[in-house]
Amino acid sequence: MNAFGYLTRPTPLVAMAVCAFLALVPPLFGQGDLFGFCMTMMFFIVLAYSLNMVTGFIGYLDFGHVVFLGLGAYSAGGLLSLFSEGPVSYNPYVWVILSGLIPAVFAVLVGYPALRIRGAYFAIATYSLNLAVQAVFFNWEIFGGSEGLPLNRYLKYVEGREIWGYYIYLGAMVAAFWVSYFTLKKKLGFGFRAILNDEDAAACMGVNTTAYKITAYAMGAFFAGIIGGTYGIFQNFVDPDNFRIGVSIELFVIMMVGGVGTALGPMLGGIIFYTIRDLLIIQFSHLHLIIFGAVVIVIVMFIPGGLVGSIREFWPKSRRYLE
Amino acid sequence: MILFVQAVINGVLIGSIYGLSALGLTLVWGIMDIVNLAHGEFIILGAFMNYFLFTLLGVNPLVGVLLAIPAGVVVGGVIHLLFIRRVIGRSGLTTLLLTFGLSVLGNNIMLQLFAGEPRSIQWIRTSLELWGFFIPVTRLIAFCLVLAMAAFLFYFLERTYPGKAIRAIMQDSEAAAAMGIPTGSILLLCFIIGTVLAMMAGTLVSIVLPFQPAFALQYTITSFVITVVGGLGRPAGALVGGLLVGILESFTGTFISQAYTPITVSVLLIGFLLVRPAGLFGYSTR
Repeated sequence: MNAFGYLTRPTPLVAMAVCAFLALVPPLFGQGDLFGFCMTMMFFIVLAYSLNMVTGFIGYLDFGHVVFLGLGAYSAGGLLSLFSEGPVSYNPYVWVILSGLIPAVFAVLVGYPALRIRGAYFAIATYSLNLAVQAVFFNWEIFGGSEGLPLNRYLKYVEGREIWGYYIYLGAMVAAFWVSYFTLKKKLGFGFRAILNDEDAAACMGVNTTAYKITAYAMGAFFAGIIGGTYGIFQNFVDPDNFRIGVSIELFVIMMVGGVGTALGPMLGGIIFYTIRDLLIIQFSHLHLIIFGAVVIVIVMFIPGGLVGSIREFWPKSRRYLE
Repeated sequence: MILFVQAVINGVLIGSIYGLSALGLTLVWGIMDIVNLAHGEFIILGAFMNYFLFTLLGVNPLVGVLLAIPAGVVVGGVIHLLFIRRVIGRSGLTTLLLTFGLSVLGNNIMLQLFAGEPRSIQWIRTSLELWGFFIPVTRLIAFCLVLAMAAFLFYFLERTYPGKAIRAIMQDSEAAAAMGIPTGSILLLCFIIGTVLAMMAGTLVSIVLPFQPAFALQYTITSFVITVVGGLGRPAGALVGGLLVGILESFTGTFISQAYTPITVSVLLIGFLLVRPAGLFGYSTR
């Protein structure tokens, strides 16, 4: 099947239709409420995809996934501030490339020891990794310490800069979808699934589990870092709050609502979750985290497959189309 | 030198409270194979209970510590019967995500009801002076209560029937069930004990330290680290590990900076996981 053949399959078709709609939002509706809504939604969707690459693909609970978001923000914003004197003449978004690579390299270095531990140990180790890295940036004076690092000195206002951020998010979302989709179809995905089901058995059958796990972790880190870097430059500001654990909660809700370990899940989950979240925050501004907690409990206990998983269960024929 | 000894004293006094809270986590985790990520929420709930008993009703905080027992029985029992019971024996992903959901839910309910500012009980504020070292009276009382509670728990686990049943289930739950031990009710008891210990640790926290709902995560992590350091399911390990973590935090705070305690504690955790995953008191084969 060639590349266009895949496009005619239902799952990519739905995903690309969503992306095409999102691509048309700025020219059709301008940079109003819908623009901001879609942008934040894509922010969460790509992060949910990147979490899904770790937790969904190999079954390792990464409670500290935001560490890559924060590292990405500091890779782009922090390095921009270190290497520039005044306002930059080029497009500042070129730093976003580094903001993907640095977290990925960090993930390889940390993942090599950290991925040897499993289950709850890994979950808490990533939790405390996040806290530790946050503490480092709280105290690192070059990057502004706890006060954060304003970037306005280096970024002159240029017409249409928001548009750049928007389309980088969209590009990252398209890439995250296709990477997830193809990964699940190819040898890499079979290796991931073997690790997910039984890591010891996979190792016995000759799967290089270490390499596969580090690959998944680095993939997740790359996408989270890209988003972090874009976010930092888009916001003109980088601070240790980029590492806050609250974002992790929302990512888990999105991933679980959509369906853990699926290619379409994070996107569907993100759209549903973010629409509902927006309404909830307007209606009951402080209760939404309580509701998220309840949603996680209900999903774990009653609908562990999420949206995609439940559709597959109640309508088995859809398994061929829903990936 | 004086500073050094004072740091050890502070670390031991605070670490004993950490040890008590880790006792609850290590029992629930070791026996039920459930890592309760909502453990820190139980601790903060206990702290709030004692705080409001003291400020609104004027109850002596030490009575509040004892009242943590009935409160823990109710809270632990309800949560076990509603949620935990249904996921015993399921995969780690399921149980972790469930307790994670409980933690988010509980934390934000407390945040809504009681607001997020730091609180503390203003009770006895004097310190004993002993050979030039200062020992805050409340911390000394908390330390003694922890020792008493730990002694009681050891007696319970070693000498009584339910305690022996708990240890039997830890060794082999199927064999224990075959011997006629009512596994279901013992697991309920086990979760209740875990909750009582957490809430009791919380009441002690409210006496000696400021607290707020956002600290719950930190207490969960500290208890987790202590469990790893001490050895899973090992009560003695939890106490010793608690002292160790308390001293480490105190040293980091005294000699480096309070801001770096998350880093040193993480290093301790990762070091133990890599070098000796079974912990100080654990069986190295597991």
